[in-house]
Amino acid sequence: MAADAPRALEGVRIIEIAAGLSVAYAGKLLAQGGAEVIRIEPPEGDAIRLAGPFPGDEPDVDGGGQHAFLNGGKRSVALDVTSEGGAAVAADLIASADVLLTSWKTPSQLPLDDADTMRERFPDTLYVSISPFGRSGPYAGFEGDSHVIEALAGFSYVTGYPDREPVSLGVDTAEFLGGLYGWVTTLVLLNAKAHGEHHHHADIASYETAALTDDHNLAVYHGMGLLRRRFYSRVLGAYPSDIMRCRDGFVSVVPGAPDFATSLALLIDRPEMIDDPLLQLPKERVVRWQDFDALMEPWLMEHDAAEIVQKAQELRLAFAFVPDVADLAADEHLAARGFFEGPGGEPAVGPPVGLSETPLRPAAPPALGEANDELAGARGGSA
Amino acid sequence: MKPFDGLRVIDLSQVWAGPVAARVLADLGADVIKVERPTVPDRIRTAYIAQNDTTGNYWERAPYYTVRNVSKRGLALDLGSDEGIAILRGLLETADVLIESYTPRVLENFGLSWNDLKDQYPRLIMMSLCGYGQTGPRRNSPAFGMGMEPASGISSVSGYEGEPPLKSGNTWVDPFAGIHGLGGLLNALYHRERSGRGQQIDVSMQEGLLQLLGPHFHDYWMNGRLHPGSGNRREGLVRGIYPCAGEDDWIAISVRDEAEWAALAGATGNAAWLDDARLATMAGRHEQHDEIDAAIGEWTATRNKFAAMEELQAAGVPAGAVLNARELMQNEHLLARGLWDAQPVRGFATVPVQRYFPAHVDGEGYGARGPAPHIGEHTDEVLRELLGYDDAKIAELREAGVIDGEPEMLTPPESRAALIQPIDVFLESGSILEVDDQHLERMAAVVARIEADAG
Repeated sequence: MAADAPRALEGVRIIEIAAGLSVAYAGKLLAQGGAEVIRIEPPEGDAIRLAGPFPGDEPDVDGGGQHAFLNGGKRSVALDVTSEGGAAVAADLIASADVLLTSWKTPSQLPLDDADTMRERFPDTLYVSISPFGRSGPYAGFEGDSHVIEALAGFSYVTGYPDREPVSLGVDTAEFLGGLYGWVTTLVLLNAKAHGEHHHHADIASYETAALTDDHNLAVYHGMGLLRRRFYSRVLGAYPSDIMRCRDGFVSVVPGAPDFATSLALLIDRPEMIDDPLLQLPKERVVRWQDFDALMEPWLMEHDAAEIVQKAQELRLAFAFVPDVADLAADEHLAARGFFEGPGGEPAVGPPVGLSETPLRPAAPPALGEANDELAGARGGSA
Repeated sequence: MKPFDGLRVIDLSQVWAGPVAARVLADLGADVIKVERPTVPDRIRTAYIAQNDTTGNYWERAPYYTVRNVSKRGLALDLGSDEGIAILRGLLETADVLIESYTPRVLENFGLSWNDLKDQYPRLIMMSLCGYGQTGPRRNSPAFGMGMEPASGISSVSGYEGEPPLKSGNTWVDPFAGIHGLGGLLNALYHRERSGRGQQIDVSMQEGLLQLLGPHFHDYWMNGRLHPGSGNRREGLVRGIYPCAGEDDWIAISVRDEAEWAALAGATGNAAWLDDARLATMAGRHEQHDEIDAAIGEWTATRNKFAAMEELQAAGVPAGAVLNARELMQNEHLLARGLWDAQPVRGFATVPVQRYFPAHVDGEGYGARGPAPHIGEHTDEVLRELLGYDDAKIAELREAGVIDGEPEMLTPPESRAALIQPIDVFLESGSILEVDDQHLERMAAVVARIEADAG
């Protein structure tokens, strides 16, 4: 992408006070849009810097993978905001900014848990708080990471095997959702400000951002009183929907195609089955899902994922690979889109969405405190 | 006054991710016009019909459709006709945003791709959302959200230890991708304020989801390491989901640091852990995780999941009850924060509809503004208001089938029968816990609470 392309958020200044994954993700996406994001973090570095992964597992406050991914394009000011002096420096920075991004629970000498006082002290700065459960409600004082939040948000109950304990996904979905909504909320309110409408405070609960995505199970309960529970990788209500074994691994099998019966019969080399009710009638597949599996499994076990997916896609079936990270890193489609092209030629995870005029742009993460002299020097940034 | 009062959005998107992004703009004040072909409406209308009753105009009675489409206006338009395309182009003259979720070849065939539109509508922001994006060899591959979770590598890091990749049982990936697209669109709106120019937003569901694997990619690039599913366990944490008293009741616990570890030991009667040299570090605890889990499970097994959560949280241990959909709907915290709005599924009942923009802004929220439209419910009003058509012109278009028609694939008896969900099969398989025969009463109670809180 052109390095001289305009930046949508040019001139917007954001102060991020480090407060976990959600806040960092929101700040990263704002930085990708061209905002100046100044990250205030503890003098020894915050948990994201210390979380790794590190090359060769050697801890390095500037070299971690979480840090590279979540803090790209930001400035770093190392500052102890739990001290009076540090908080005073932070206050100057906040007063100079369009947006303050943190959690109301962040330990500090600033009144982050009191939106009214923050508004009085920083009348021109929008304060966006992202926390696990928000500032209000009976769980406001609760703590939780994605694992805990997803349990309360309905994810875990429907994920896993019916005869085993519920299981969390291997990614931090709820915390990313909190960060995603921190980004979107900030952008909504920046747009409002551009129309002369000023807002002062936004309170985002990662719990709510996760709960709202359980819209499948909620709608099924609302309409029919069904309480879905975990059932492998299958959704019986729209079968086939599963991760199925094939000769060299797994494929994702999903329903929906202009003519599912014909496409599927041709896929598995059984053209005589085009008119079979098991292929013709969606409900028949739901009722006789074990018969459907018995039809599919032998054919899948005789073929590799690459040929299955290619042939299925040619037949307009939305079957897909089940890649791991190594497969994805070598994927030719993603390579053709330049998705892993990092700022300095090294690989990086590309932006989540493409913009033709003002592309989001990945950038390198800052060394700890690299902006102290420039941005925090006058008031004693070492405080 | 809402942030997007005066903004107009033409929503050609279907099913899930696109409609959710459009709905957020509608809740925030935009005039969102949902365009459907009258003969082939949004296919989400056939998913999980209320009461499993597929008589009459059942396609207007799916809570599944409602939740993604409240706050919008409905326009019926046959995009397969020249007149339909001409009307759409007329509407684009009045619009700020176009949202669509076809594979790229579809709108190219209709002459409605970004390249076809950008010169005529220089202020237009067009958001195109599909599985793999607008460019690249897989651009035209069909995709659904339920397949994108595995296709994006999420399943490869999920599941029980030693077991195959696992897909979750909810479809969070659609809103996850749609809201990432919305963020791109909001960047574009902000840019247009200053530049006066629109642009194209290219949403690949896959690339949105790959964000979740960011640290995994770095570990692979740095160390060549992959992380197959390890159940609920994660290095550096003490974590699990433990059985509680009650049928299929569980609690999730996650301990991240020394203070939380000490709190867990104290709260569960395991103070001896703190003197156990084997458990002095997170690495040591990881090695002894089975033993720790057994002790936690013994403590949780006799307790109600909500009581255990309260007790652990009060002690400083991150813990959350595992909720099913009914418990989610009834959750005190979400009700207190106002996540749901009461909206009618006309012909069925008033249901709690979640907000897709849940932030509290200066103490206020942005919720659903009105029912999800019937097919073409606002066709006449939109054509009069935005294009200045008179009654005669509208009657002519109706006669010609441009703005009217029967959803022919949905009406035959066999289509109706096919959409009745075989609930007995779900019960027999164990894929549902139960059919709650009190669900209408429970929902009505929640709706009454929402309406009372809304004043």
